[in-house]
Amino acid sequence: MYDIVIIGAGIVGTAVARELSKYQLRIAVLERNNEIAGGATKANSGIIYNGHTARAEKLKGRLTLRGRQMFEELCRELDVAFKPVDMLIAGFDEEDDAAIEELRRRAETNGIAGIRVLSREEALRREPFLNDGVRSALLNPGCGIVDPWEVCFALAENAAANGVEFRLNTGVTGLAPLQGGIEVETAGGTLQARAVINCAGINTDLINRMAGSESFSILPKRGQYAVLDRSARFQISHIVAHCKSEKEKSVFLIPTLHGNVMIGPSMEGTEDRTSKKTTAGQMQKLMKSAHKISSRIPEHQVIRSFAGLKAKCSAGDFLIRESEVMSGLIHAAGINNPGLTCSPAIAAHIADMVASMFSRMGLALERNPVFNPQRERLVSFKDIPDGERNEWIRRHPGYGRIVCRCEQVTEGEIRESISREPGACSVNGVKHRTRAGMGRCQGGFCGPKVTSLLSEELDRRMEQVLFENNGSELLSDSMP
Amino acid sequence: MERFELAVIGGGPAGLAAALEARQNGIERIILFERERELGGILQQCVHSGFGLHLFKEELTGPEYAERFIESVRQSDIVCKTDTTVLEISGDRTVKAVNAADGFMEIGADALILATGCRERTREAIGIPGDRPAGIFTAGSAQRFMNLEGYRIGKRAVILGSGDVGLIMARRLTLEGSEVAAVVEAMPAPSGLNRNVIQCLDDFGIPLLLSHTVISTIGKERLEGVRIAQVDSRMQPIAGTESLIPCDALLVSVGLIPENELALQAGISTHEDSHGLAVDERMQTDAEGIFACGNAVSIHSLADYVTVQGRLAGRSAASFILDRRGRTELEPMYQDGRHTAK
Repeated sequence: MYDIVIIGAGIVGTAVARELSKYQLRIAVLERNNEIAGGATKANSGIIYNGHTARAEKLKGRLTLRGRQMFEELCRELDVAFKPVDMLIAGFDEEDDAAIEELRRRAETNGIAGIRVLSREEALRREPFLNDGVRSALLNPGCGIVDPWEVCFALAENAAANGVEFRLNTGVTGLAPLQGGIEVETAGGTLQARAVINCAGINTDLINRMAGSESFSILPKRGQYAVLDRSARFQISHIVAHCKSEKEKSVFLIPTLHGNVMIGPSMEGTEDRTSKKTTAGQMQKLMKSAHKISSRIPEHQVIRSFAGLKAKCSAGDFLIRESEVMSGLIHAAGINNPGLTCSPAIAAHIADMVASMFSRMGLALERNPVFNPQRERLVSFKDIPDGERNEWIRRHPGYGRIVCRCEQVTEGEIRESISREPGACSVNGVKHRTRAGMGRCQGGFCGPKVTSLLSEELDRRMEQVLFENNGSELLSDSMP
Repeated sequence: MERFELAVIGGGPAGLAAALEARQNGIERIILFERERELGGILQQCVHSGFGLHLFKEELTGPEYAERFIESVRQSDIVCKTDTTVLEISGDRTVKAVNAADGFMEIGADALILATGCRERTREAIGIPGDRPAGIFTAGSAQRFMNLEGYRIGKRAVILGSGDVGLIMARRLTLEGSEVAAVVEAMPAPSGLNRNVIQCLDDFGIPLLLSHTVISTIGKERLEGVRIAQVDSRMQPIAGTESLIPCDALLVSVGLIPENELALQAGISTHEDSHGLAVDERMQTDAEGIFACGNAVSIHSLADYVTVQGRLAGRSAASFILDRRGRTELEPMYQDGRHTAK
């Protein structure tokens, strides 16, 4: 019997797994997809908020403030890149002035240091690409940028190194109460656990239904994004947004860790829980919203657009609580924006809940004496200084072979990303771990090479290599 | 830092011709960088014939055409670094490169020739909305999978774009037993060579849908179909003309873009619209001693023309180097500055 089964290996599931691996527990994470971080986690803005709009009466608000405090330390422990970036919220008319003042007041209440309203001139000096019509802007220091999937991979790797089991392609099909626990039915057999933590993202309500309750529902929202080429003549140094009214939310212009500018999200409600399609209509809306901030955005230099499904909850707040119908089940539902920022705080919060649940069962959580909080990042050839490259290549010859020319990713990195635990299982898994295929050619050149490296490392035939999930074979068959 | 008289970046038809021409014009220390294991560039995956008609007056396949130059390079003392990626160049003509055997290297040269070729425009670059499942390829990567790796990329394909790569892949897929449901072209006329329209589509009865485009891709894991529509003169889909073509592969062949990231990083000028390197009549860029040729300058319809331009760049670079050595200038080979095949 497992002590803990976690359903879902997105940012919340992996953060909870890593947090609970600090204790002597037998833990399994079940992921229905072939890759971790494959849901909302990978279609995320990557912004670490400082809680300037947080509302203390909401759980989400409290966890945002706490999560922000925890995030940089987490990134240090897990060797994940964190870039401090200030946010600039621009206003363009009188109505916006009032909105900015309201934002400033709320940020002050939340104790955000250094927040202030900039004049038009100062805003333009800081961000010359802003439209000329800018009237004022709120400078919100203390935000940050990460690669959201990188945080998730790091959490998972560290959890695995501390004994957590990851089972991919293992969707949960049913839950049944047991004496002192829960029986979890999956596509790959049945598991038993003392406690089950529902971190299933947009499907948390379906898991709740399996437990026999319809106490909440998830209202999926599809968010679309566009990414500009690194070499686009459009660079920003802040996370920039138009101050939003209740009716109309602005998109963000986000300077990524890698020098691209990302624009998004445009949000729309959707009934379809599986479709991550982009649409011409939403892309137009997205660009229109972005052009309100800067009309100089070079639309023709978009190298990628994508969509993700966000798990808004009917409860109107994060819903983190024990199930009212099945003992041992804890929900972490409705974790929408800023869920990434909150993730370490959510994990700590859930660990507290598990501790009190276990104490009710007459069990105590014992510290894992060999817990190692550290994880090392994949060494990227691009980041090795010229003078040290030869020594590194001498020891790891694969680092001398560039596979992805656009992002300068080497064979060594790709092989390493596949052999990690949990490692890349597909072309997209390699892409998110190494950036191979994320550049302007979008895998046109490196795709065939990445496919054959996956074939070698996973010991699969070429035509069995997956683009991402089961059923996404890239090639149909070998030619006679 | 090791020094050469000339460094050529790219071992495709442009770079091979440039290096050989410079060698024949008296340049002795030449190094050529190629990122693939074999020289020849994209020619190696072009197994169809039609190469060499202008230059050799015979019809060769891509690898055969490449071999004529590779053979000469092998017999020369040109230093070839294959499986080697150039990471950076600078205006003072130093080159940083890397491979597994030599590691990271930095070399200096009196002149550089950029023959870095081109890349394909992607579905993302033209903003086709829809799902992003497996089964969507640029035509060139599908060609590589088929011709170099030996795999079929799908059972029923739609090809977007009637450029030469798209047309040739329509025939190639058909010959290898895949069905090509249609070639879809947004313009009112095919954009590839007329001979390819006849030999690759008409001869196989493959429908060419002009003034049509793909408006969305459908499929969760593997492509299941594409939605197409007729477009008006402003390339906008016309309502009411949409239809669905079931297919498990989409090949996107919507144009080539000169690949000049190395040059851009070094601050060398390109044409804003075409992304091609800006060169003078001797194929010199706006950086002194740095020359360019082939598809990095502009997209050529035939490899033969690329070779001719490569020779011009090689000869110009040679004359630049010899000039600096204080020797006499060579006889100009192209009196009017135009590069025409002999």
